[in-house]
Amino acid sequence: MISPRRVAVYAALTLFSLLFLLPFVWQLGTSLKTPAEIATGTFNLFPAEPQWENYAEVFRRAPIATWFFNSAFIAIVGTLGATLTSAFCAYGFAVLHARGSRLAFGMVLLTILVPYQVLIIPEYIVWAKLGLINTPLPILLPWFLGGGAFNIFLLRQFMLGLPRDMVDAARVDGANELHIFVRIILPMCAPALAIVAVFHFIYMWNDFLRPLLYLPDPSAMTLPVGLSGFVNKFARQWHLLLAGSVIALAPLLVIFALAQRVIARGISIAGVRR
Amino acid sequence: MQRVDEGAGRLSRFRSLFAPLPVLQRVEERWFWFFIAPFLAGFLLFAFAPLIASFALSFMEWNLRGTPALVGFDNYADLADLDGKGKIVLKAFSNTVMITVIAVPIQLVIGLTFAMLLNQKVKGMALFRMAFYLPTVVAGVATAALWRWILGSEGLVNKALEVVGVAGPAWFNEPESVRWGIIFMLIWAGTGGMTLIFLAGLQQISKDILEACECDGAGRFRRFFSITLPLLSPTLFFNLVIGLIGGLSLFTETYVVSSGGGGPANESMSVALLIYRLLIRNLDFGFGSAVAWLLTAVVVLLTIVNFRLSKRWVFYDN
Repeated sequence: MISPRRVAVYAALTLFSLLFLLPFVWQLGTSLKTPAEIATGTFNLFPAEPQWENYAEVFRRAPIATWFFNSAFIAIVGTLGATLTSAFCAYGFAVLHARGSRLAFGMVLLTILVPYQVLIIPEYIVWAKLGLINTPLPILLPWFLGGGAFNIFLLRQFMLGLPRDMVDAARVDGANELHIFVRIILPMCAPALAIVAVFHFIYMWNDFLRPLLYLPDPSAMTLPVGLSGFVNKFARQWHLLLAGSVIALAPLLVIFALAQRVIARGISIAGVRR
Repeated sequence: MQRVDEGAGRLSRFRSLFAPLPVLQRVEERWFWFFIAPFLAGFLLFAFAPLIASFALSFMEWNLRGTPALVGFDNYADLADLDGKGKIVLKAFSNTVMITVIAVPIQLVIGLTFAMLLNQKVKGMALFRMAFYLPTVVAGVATAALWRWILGSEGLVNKALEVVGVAGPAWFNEPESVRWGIIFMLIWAGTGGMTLIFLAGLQQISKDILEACECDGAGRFRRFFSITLPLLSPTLFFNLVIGLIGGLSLFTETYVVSSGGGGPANESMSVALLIYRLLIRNLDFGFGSAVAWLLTAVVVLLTIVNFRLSKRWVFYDN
């Protein structure tokens, strides 16, 4: 016997999740319509005849393939850098004892409080003076130095939960800390590293302000920056604009589908921080 | 007496930072600094130095070509000149604050509601959870472009309003509605992340306490306000602090809906967008840095106030 209360819970959940997903379905449907069909303004979700041609036209009218490649390069290299360096730093905070450790960890937490937006002026001036605008270095280098406060925090939490016996045993056997980190801790952290990598990849793929500042040239642009130009260029051509944004979303949807468990686990680790 | 003791304690702790240590411990300390060296370098280069540099720049006038000239407090005087240069700054701050103080509480309430629904041991929870979270994952330019379509004059929302006989505005093209459009967008994009963090928090609450409370005859509301909410307060606090900081640094959404201009009539100009425009369009580094410092000060002060207030309502059970 199903209680009315449970029916209400399911009904509410279904309604709300459809409401959250509807924009995506609508977007996909509209990106496959002809401009004439969009203009008639009928409520049908899907086109009478899917216009795959819209996608071909977006590729013809803008260097989408280049932008896609630039985005992928930056997101992959940045994710590698952030994951490895944040694990490296987290090892220091989680396993090694030192005076000043609390102070240094306080600095990690402090960086969460300072929005990147307030730092852009001096950073931009320095990179411009160095002649490194339109190179990926201004975007990638910071991720190789520290790897992000959230990532350090998450990996430190995970490492604190690992058994210390193996570390102590390895020390007795004369292994140095670098060896212990690479051979013992890093493999045990694989699940947490996966979480950091997935979240950071998503973050870097969506990142807008940094690529907007540092990669203004059309040949160096990332997909979000290119797409933001679309919004003006195709202001009234919704079928092309929406097709472009479907292309930008596609890799995230694939990762989201493949890494659902990793994402859910990551949230529950991040969420219970105290 | 106690004060003196406290001072002595602090002094000896400070001294102990430089006291000689046994060899093994000294080796371990060296390793510690070796491992956190990348973070320290990144902190100095990409957080500390820019913060100090922008503080210095805020007392200068410079546009990349000439040499920076010291102008004292001129930039801050400009900030206060609400009929001149300061006007747009005040507008940007009031827009940003309005969007944040409306969007974040709604995100919190809806996020907590969804999390409570998901916590009812429903079948297919993974599916629902992901449906709520998907907009957060894809939040960025692509979804902001999508919202320009949804909230366009012929968009999804206006068609729905048409059915009930209301003529909707061209949301992002009219000064009265542009911020509301951004607020809708933020609620849609930001609620999912909060939902999942709330859910993780709810799952930490022991069922025993709630059942004991039920046995004592407490009703649903009583249980929520007396047990669930206090035990969930650290999670609520976390979502609040992160949500407010995120709201105050709003950039991508306003950039996309206004094509980088903050319009119509500066009604969607956010502080971060203003800093970007002062940097890239106006090359007004000094004044831009003053605005950036004002935003930093607001964020830091707000966070301090939040932590102070949290002592009154956030309950830590350790």
